[in-house]
Amino acid sequence: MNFSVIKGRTVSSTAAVNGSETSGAAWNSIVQGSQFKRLIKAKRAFILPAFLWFAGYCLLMPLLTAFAPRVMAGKAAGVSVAYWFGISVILLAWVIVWLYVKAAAGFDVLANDIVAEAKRQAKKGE
Amino acid sequence: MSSPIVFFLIFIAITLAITYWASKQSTGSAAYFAAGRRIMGWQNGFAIAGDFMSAASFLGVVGLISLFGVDGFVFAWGGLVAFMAILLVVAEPLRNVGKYTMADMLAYRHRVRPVTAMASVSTLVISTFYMIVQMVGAGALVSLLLKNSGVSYSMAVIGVGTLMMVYVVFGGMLATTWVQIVKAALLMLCTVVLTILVLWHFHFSFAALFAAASQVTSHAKGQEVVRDFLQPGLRFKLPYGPFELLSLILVYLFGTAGLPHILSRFYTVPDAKTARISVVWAMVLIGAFFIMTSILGFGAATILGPDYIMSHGGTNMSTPLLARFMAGDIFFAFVSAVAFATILAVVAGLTISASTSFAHDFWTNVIHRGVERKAGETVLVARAAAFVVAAASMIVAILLGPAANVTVLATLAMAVGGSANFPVIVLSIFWRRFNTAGALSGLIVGLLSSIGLILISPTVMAIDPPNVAGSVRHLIQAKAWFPLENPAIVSIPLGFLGALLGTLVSRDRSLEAKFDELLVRSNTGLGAEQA
Repeated sequence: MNFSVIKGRTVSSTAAVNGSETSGAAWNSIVQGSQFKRLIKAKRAFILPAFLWFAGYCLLMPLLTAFAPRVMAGKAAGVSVAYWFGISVILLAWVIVWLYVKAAAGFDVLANDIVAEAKRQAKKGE
Repeated sequence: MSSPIVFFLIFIAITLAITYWASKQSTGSAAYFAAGRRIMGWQNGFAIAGDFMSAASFLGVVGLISLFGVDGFVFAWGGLVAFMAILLVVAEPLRNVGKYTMADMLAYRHRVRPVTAMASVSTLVISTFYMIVQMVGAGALVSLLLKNSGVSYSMAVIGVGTLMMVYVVFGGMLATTWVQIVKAALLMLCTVVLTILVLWHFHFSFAALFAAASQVTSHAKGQEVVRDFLQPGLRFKLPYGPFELLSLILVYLFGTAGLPHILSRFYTVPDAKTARISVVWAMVLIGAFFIMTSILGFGAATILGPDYIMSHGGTNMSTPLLARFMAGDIFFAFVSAVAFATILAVVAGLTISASTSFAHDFWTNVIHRGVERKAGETVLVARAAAFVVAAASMIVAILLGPAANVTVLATLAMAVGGSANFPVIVLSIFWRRFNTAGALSGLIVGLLSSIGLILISPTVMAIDPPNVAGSVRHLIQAKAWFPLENPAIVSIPLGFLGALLGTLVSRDRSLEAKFDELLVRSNTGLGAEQA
């Protein structure tokens, strides 16, 4: 199947879903649906805290350098905290990646349900 | 013929074979701009990692660590930090609603022509600036690596420019992607071998390596200095050091997610799930790569010493010099050839993202209102644009010369990505009230504030002593008005502020309803471009 997208000004309020035209109202009814609300809620609950915690952790480095230079210069296992900090950022990133991949498998299930339902509705409307 | 040239010719032969194969594959817009959307997850992961592991990281980061110790390591882990926003926020929505470029997604809910035009301008600014950096780097590297082979700076620039032109014009995205994959694999191989050699030197004892790194001897003005390379503060000195660091980390957190040549990779895979898998591959590869660069950097600092590095070509030569010391001339030649390959593959990626944006965004969607007058017109325009972009950057690189201070352009490219593109992408995905005026003012404010702040920063404004000559001299001979080299700490908030204010002063209810559609499409992949 081929969905025509982006044709000049009219982009896609009339874009085709499975061959039939989908109006703004149809998109809105999907957004109002309980499945979609669950999907958005689940995604937001993971992505927002994950990104903010990660960004916060990274920004800790310049803040510590500015306000507590002794901490960064301290040593652990023969190596400065500044080096361990860098390594810990990489490890933390990998942990978040792993958690996200697991969470996203759940998002995919919800998203597929929504797509299947939307296609059923579009067919019914024909 | 010297051996670096032999290795380089082998790489050129492989990439030309790839280009020939790619040119025989199916034709059409999706094939040319998005490799037919058939690249697999791990392949795209290698290609993304390859785009990011440029000469700047392979040579530059190791060089920075070998001279500034753990302060240089920030440039390494920062590189991985960059992918968090791409993984969590940008990659999947972009794949779900876009066709070939970042502007496609913006076009969904804003007035197509002004927003696409402006997004295309910022894409072209980033790509061409980045490309000039890479070209000057390529030329300068040649004069260092092939000192006695008779290859001059201009010849190197023309060689690199011509090759990237061939890859992009004849092979399109498919060839560009595979050149990048091959290069990334070679680069990883090189790095792993070199890391093992360094650890072997220290009898596989990290304690011995770190003990050596905490007592690095160098000479400054005839004085012997012993410094602890594991202690921070060698590069980021007070009073502005922490702010510089903050700015750097901000640009990594947000800037990479706005780099067009990285974003265009997500259109080459079949669906959003594969886009996600490819970011995971890229993050594993890049993380491992940067952990190894820290070992190489400390290795170069302790085994070779900063004095030796500075007297043999400076920071960018740390990696090749280390290779020569550890394993002789043949490995030096191999590492040098991989460094070339890196530049070649990255400039090809930049060229295709610039020409795609010009042809698809500007030519077709802005000038001709989204209608191709003849089949294949967009691809034809893109090929012509690639030719022009390559020729223009060759000429600029030759005019600038090998000693030109181009780091300013690299900083600028990342800053524009973070200050202009990123706020507009994120707000388009998440904010219902966001509108065309906001998108335009966000892009314009982000672009102008990055450029403006760099023009008054110490990278452009400084007072040089009279014996500093020619292209190394700062452009404006006066004390810098803005104290930081990296403008992101100010320009990213300005970009968001511009987008916010632009939105609040105008209201466009006709397009607000489009947000529902974008929300559904970006989150579910309903109606996404198929492979």
